[in-house]
Amino acid sequence: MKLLKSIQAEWLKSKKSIIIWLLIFGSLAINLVVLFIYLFAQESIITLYTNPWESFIGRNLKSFTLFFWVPFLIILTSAFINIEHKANNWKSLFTLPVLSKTILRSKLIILIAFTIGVLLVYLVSLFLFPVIINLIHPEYEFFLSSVNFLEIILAFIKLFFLSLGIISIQFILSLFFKNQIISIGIGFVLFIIGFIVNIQDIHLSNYFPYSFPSFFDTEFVWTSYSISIALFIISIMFISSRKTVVLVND
Amino acid sequence: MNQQPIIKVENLHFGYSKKELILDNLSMVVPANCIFGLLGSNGAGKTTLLKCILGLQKIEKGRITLFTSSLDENRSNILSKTGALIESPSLYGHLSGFENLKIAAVYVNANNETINKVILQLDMSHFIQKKCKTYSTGMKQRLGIALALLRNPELLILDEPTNGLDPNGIADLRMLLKQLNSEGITIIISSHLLSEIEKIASYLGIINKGKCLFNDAIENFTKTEIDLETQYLKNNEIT
Repeated sequence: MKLLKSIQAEWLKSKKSIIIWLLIFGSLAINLVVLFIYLFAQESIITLYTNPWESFIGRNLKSFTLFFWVPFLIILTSAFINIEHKANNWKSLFTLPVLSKTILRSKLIILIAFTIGVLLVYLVSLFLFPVIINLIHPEYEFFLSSVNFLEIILAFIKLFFLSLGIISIQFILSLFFKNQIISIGIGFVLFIIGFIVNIQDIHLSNYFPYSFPSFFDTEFVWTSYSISIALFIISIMFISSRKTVVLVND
Repeated sequence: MNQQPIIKVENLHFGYSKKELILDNLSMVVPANCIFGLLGSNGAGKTTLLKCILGLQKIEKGRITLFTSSLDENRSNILSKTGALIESPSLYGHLSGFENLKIAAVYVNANNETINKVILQLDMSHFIQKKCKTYSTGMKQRLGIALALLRNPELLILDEPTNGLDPNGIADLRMLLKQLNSEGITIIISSHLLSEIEKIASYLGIINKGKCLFNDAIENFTKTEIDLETQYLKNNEIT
């Protein structure tokens, strides 16, 4: 019951903050760019692909997972925790008749809910935007081709699980560092390392959480999923071990 | 006055590093139903003591009892009866004062009636719908106290609540605290200003360099021929 109340409070804090704009941006940014390309550069696209769905979704997901998703998660997590740092509110939160682990768990839960929400809106727009494009430019022939919805939905579920490790690491970093430049900075360095590891050694990238989202559509690699989920469980255990003492250097 | 202690601090040791103790074998008693003035110069350990009492700092040695049990034994119950304002008020600047109260109300199960009651009690109706980032120091301070009052506390801990308030604001706050105390709320108010404590407190605790110098009813402090200020300064010089 206290967890539900705490989740409700987290939502009230977030709903009028920059978080909502970040969620909208995260859900639609890449899709809008690709939509723009389709509306204004249709000739080159039509000649390149046989199936317009494969073209649209392929372009979209490549940009999304390679360049957008990890930095977005880093910024989202940091901005979300920063609501509390900015208000200098940890000392007040931890003098509430609610256990600090309940408060921290509720934060993690709502962050996960935000992530799922962004992925869901992105997924829906991935199927909706081609319809809009087709209404303006019927020559793309989206309605004459088919798409394997189930395969794409499955890929998104995989992407979600592969993202849990990054969310967990960034969550703990953001709690510890009041200055969000530090948590974002560390996150970006790890993202760049992940990118390099991905290019240099695809096998090594199976062990590096910040590389995981880039291969969500490849074959199922148990190691990566296990590491991601293990990091998530470790983060829950870590925040649950906190009792009455302030977690951050407030 | 009921002299049953609401807070009992026994042989408390605390330091941010092992070399330097902020609280050095400090013992203190806060009787129920009083206005307790916690007096000490800057850096004496007042805020640290209040943080230890509220469980915001892990104590190394000693024991703190609130409402007859320690925080470790009965945390949720104790904190549901304790309102606190430590250092500056913690507010979400992007939200209005009312929304800040709403959030706090969710945590402590307070209803709209209680929210409206504290708004009226602290005379905040004219600014409560504005965003907190536009508030003056006095407005923030009042909202901070309102947040502490939301859980209908039996114990109210205020750490230097008059900081940044103008003389009118200080006088209003004094009246409010006296009124709350008359309703049965025990109030701890810390300050480094003797004159401020003198006007409001019925019980006194003086600390200096982490040690308790005096802990008794204020009239026992002034029984001597020398006035309170001289006595206070003299006490501070001793250590």
